[in-house]
Amino acid sequence: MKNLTSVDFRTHGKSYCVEYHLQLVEEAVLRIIRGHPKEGLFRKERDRIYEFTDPEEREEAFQQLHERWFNHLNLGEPVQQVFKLWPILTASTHRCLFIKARSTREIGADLYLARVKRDQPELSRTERTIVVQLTPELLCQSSQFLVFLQREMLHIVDMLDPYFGYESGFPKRSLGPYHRVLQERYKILWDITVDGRLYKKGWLPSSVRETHKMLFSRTFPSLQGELENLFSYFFDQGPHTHQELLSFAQNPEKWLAGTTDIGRGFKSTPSSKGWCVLCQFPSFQLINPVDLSADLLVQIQQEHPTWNPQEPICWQCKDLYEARSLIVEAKPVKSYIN
Amino acid sequence: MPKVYNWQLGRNMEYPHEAAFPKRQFAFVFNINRCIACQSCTMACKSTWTFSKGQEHMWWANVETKPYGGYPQFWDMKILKLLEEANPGGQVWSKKDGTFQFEGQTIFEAAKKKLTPESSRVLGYLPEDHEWNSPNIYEDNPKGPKGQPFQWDKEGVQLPVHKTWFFYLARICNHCTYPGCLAACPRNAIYKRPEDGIVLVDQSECRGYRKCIEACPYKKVMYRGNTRISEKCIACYPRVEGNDPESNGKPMETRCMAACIGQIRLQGLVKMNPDGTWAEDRYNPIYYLVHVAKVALPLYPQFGTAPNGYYIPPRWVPRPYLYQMFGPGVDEAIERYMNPDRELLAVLQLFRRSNLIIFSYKFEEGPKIFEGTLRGKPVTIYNDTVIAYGKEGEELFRTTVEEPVYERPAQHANSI
Repeated sequence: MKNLTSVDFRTHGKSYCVEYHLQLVEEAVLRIIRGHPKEGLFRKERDRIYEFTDPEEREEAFQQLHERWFNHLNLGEPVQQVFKLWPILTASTHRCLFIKARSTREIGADLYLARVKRDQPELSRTERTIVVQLTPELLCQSSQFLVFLQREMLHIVDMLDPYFGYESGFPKRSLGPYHRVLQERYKILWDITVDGRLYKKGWLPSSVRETHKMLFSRTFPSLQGELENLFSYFFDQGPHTHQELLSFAQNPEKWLAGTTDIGRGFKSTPSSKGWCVLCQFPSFQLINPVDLSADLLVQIQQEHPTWNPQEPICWQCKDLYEARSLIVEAKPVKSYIN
Repeated sequence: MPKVYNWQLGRNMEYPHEAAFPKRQFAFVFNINRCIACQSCTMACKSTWTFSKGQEHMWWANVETKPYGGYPQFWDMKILKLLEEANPGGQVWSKKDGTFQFEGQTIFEAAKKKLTPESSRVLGYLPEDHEWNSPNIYEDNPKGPKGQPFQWDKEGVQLPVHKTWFFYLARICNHCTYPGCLAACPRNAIYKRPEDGIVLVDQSECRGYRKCIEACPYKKVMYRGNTRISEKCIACYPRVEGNDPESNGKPMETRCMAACIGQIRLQGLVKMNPDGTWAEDRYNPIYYLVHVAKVALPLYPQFGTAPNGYYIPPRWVPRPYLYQMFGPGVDEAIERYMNPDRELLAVLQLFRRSNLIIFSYKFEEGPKIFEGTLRGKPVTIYNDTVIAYGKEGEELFRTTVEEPVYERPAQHANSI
């Protein structure tokens, strides 16, 4: 029994295959048909299939019915619209798969690569697949679905665009807790550039600008003085590159100092003294491990075997390991029962 | 639309069908004060009825942590919100001549506001798949660092302190007197059995329209994706009929009731009057708890379906929340439960002493065993006896208020 239904269409002179998970198709049709003027007709057709006695024949008939009504109700129309907007999508990938998200957290699109060899430098069109996870409810709301697709597909466009130069993964240095901060900053910056482009085309309401501006100011609080210019740079201008977003996310002050136009006249807050090699956060108070007790050094090395005791660590990490050693030393309080 | 009498609302109400009542009605009382959310009932039901392919997310019986839990998620908040939208500020009770009356709109009356598709006869909503997927999500989950799925705190030595109240709400289908699911089915595939009022979905008639799922305010009808048919709690009817091989021909309580280790559940069959009210049956324990002692209250009576599941409200929960959940009568129910008279204390001993359905009981006075004060009030406890009788009037068991103590003779000490 098949799991997918495919819709082939031609865009920019190329044939392209969009596939939908059958469960998604069925659920979307059942939801949208509620109260639809043609509900009676649909029900009449569907009711008849319940009379089939052969389970396989019955299952196939249900699938065909839902596929037919999915097309009849034009539920895939927003997908075709979006693919026509950005030719790179059909030129650089060969297939787009829509599957049912098990939870709202899974909703989104991603690019999957079928790399034959690990060191293979160039990937062909047939080795790239777009996978979109969504709920049937989202698929039924055509205007919201269109906005969702535009957002997600513009991210995919960036991933495919050589100028943007997308690379998966972050530099090695950003492992540990700092990795999450970097990921979060990068995500926010990338979303700003994506929504900025959609906003310029008039596809998003003006409120989106304010929402992103608020997020931007919360994410980069040290840039308050230049907030408007910087936000406008990412939201209104472009094109931007992966490297640019990443270096800004890693260290905005350093990035500003390196840029000629936007950094001119920028009064940054004093930058940190350096990075703590344990927690990977920038710190103003780095201390020399030579001053630490031997026990503490052993403890730290147990958890960070690659750490060189010559490298400075921050006060917060020192406090943490000192507190832990106190817990180990503490004796249990004598029970008051006996 | 025909008018029917709903005694829980204290008034007539509109219902899409003419009133029709069974001879007896399946009903139950759950004592929330004793539920520990062990989920034994949930699993007893699951392993009996919903363990097959396509029923993975189907839990006819469930226990959810209130106020934040729900299966499907937020089911009660969503329907309460819909009712409020249909009748802003009007969902209130009034008291006339000592009796309460609901002045707001039921799910049948509010359907006229057309908040749902034209074809809907009942106000409701269709939950989304993800709302059914995780029955107890966020209720007893370990908490890990933010953004790191499946990474739990490895050094946690202390449980977080609950800084708020909560309680466990055990739920099954309420086998309502005016079922929303039955009212909404365009094919009349749902019916109420005339002998015991159990609500069933005719599997051969159902065509998976899911109007019943949309309409049931308690969200106790579920859709099975692989058969494309709706299913619901069948109140273990072979047991209730006495046709289960285990029951030896005697009416037996459902699987979820029998499995309850917290002894919070009592199920029975109450006699009905021709107008849908309960016929007086003073010594039926369910009738006694609901109509005489008045300690057990219906769940969200304002929905208007006249549910046949009754709850002894949790005594520690803020009253406004309980008024919303169980309607008027909460204060009196809790007061009586906390200071029970001799008969109530005896009837509470009937919970889970047998798996057979109790049709009546007899109360026999016993000697005084305790005198003192409790929460500043004088208390006297008597070791009264309560005797349970079955369908044919045969004695099922007898039990006392004080738990009997059996002392082992010294000669057997330290031996088997």
